[in-house]
Amino acid sequence: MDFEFNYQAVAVISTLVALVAILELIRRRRIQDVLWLPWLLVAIAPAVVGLWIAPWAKLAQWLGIAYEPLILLVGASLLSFAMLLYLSVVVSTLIRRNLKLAQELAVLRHKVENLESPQESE
Amino acid sequence: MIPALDEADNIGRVVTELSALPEAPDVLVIDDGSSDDTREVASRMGASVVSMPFNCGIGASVQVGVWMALAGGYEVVARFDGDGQHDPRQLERLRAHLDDDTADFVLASRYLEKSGFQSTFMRRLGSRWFAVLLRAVSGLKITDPTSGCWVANRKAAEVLFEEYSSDYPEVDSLVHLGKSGCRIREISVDFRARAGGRSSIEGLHVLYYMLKVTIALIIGRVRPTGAPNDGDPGWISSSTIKQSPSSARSSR
Repeated sequence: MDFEFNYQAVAVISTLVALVAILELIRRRRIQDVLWLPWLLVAIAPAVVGLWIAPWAKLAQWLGIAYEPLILLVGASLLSFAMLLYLSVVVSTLIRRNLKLAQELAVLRHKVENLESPQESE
Repeated sequence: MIPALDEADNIGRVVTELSALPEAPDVLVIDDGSSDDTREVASRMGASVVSMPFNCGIGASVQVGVWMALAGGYEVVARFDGDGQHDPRQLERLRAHLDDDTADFVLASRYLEKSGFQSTFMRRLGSRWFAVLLRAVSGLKITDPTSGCWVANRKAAEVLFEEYSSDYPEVDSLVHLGKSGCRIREISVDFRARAGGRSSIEGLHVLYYMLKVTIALIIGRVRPTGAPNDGDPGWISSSTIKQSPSSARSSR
């Protein structure tokens, strides 16, 4: 019982610490809204696992995992993979838009230079 | 158009040769964040110069040239490298196939008749690998898919403007052109040895180049056409570009 209480307490405390940290970063506008939801989901993951361990144990048995706690490691790995994949998509979008902006800036600068010195361009 | 990165030693010669042609084209140099005097030299030689705010990759630079050509109402756009490998006197030969409407995109090949400068063995081997892969994934018979010398009509230019890889774009752009129904033709052209400076594909870049282009070729075959919509670039319409005489001259 004590053991169960301990890991559940750790799970809840971990979630609370992560939630406070993430909410504070959101409050300070250090995390953009497009990333709020994924990080909040990651933050509550320890509590979800810690407070409802039975379904995870059953899932481990169903998957044939002999050492049940290993399911947590598998879950954490999958969650990390999903998060990294999502971040890669976000970064790729930013790279693409950054290039598009650079292209537009180059063309605009060219146009402004021509407007500023028409005698040179003729 | 001539995309250029740190080509101050060569760009002047390329611009001069293009400007000396009997039907001199308007020359646009896209300076991709050079740290040398590429921009100044090109400008001094009479080219119109667009400067990228930082190094964006050759594909992004070429796309700017294509963009300006389309917006300026030009019917033909040509790409030459800034290192002097491509002989500007071949421009009319390349363009002839667009004029007689037998192609939408004409690629200069150094391997079709194996004449002129033939590059190193490893580069020829790499080019051969891409040619085989290109034929397997898209059915295109191209002998020199890494060639950076081509001419395109508006139909092909619009395809390139829509989607063009930011780095090492030459090979997978052929897949995209083919998928979009553009007629691609290859003609034999003598290339020259690089007059000075260094190639951007050396050392570990070769490995990255081979891997990146190989994956891009395979993915390109199954990719839907059309880049993600990041906003309408229509603000730079042909009318706004045409207000600037030098802009219009620069890419025709």
